[in-house]
Amino acid sequence: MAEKERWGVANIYSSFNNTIITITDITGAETITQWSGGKVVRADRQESSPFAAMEAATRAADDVKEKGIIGLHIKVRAPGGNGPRTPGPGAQATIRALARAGIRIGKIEDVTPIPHDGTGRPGGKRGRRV
Amino acid sequence: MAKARRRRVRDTWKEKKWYKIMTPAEFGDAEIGITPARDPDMLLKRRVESSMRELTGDFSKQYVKLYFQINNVAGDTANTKFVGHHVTTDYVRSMIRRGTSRIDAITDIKTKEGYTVNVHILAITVKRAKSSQQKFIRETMGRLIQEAVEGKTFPEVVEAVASGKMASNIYHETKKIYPLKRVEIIKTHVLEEPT
Repeated sequence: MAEKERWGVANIYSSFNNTIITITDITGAETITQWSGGKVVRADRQESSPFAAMEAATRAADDVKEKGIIGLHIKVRAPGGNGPRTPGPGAQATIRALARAGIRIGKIEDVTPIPHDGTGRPGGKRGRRV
Repeated sequence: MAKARRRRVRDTWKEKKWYKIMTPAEFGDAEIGITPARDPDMLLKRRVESSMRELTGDFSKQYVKLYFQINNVAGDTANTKFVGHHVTTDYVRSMIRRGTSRIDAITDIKTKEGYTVNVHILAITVKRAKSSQQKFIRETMGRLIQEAVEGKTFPEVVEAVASGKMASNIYHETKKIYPLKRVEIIKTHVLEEPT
């Protein structure tokens, strides 16, 4: 790594209800920007859409570039725990939008919290009855 | 309202200085990256994650993540100490298949200077092992690592663990008990340091 290259970490939390992008420095202690799907769209149901994620990511990219950061490592996260363990629809769109905005992408990693054993999933024995 | 808040944020950003983060001596005093802070005291206890690939350029060790914690700041460089390592979950998951056994051994080891380190060793067998064999493997792995660590200093231990030498030694010894596919030290965690 060269001397003056500034890198950061993009923490992407992608659920079925929203996509939250938090961009920090490499230690994770200093937040650079925070964007979410809900900040760019009006309707609640669109918060998790790939479009909202894309829009949020491009705006986050602008903030990041303004602060002189050229590349981002990516940590993608789904709700995890007793919820779904695959990232929602916004995750892929976010990474793509960041790359297209001219930011270099380092390593991409899945950091979904997976319980070694925890509380049961909601729904009970007979499942969710709608 | 929103405008006023944004202006305030930008001001604090300009006050921040960037500090270089250096790896400890056992990892060759290399620069990991830079981090901003308003006050050098705020840097302390920050944790940085780095992969073996970034430090050694070895692509086959991409899955090893090392954790460093900043413990002192001199000028614009922040020095770190080793606090633990992890093997990425996707790598561990790719090793575990059906019809094989996964054997974990977790022990605390003590180095010469008085560091206590929690070590998690993982062994994967070629075929399913009986529970008595699993038990024996687990005991042997624990014993072997204790023997290997005896009389060694902390930097030596860290180096042996991170480079995979320790794991391959354990592999060659334990595969006599039951055919093993792989032995890997998947986690370490420094519990105690000499003061």
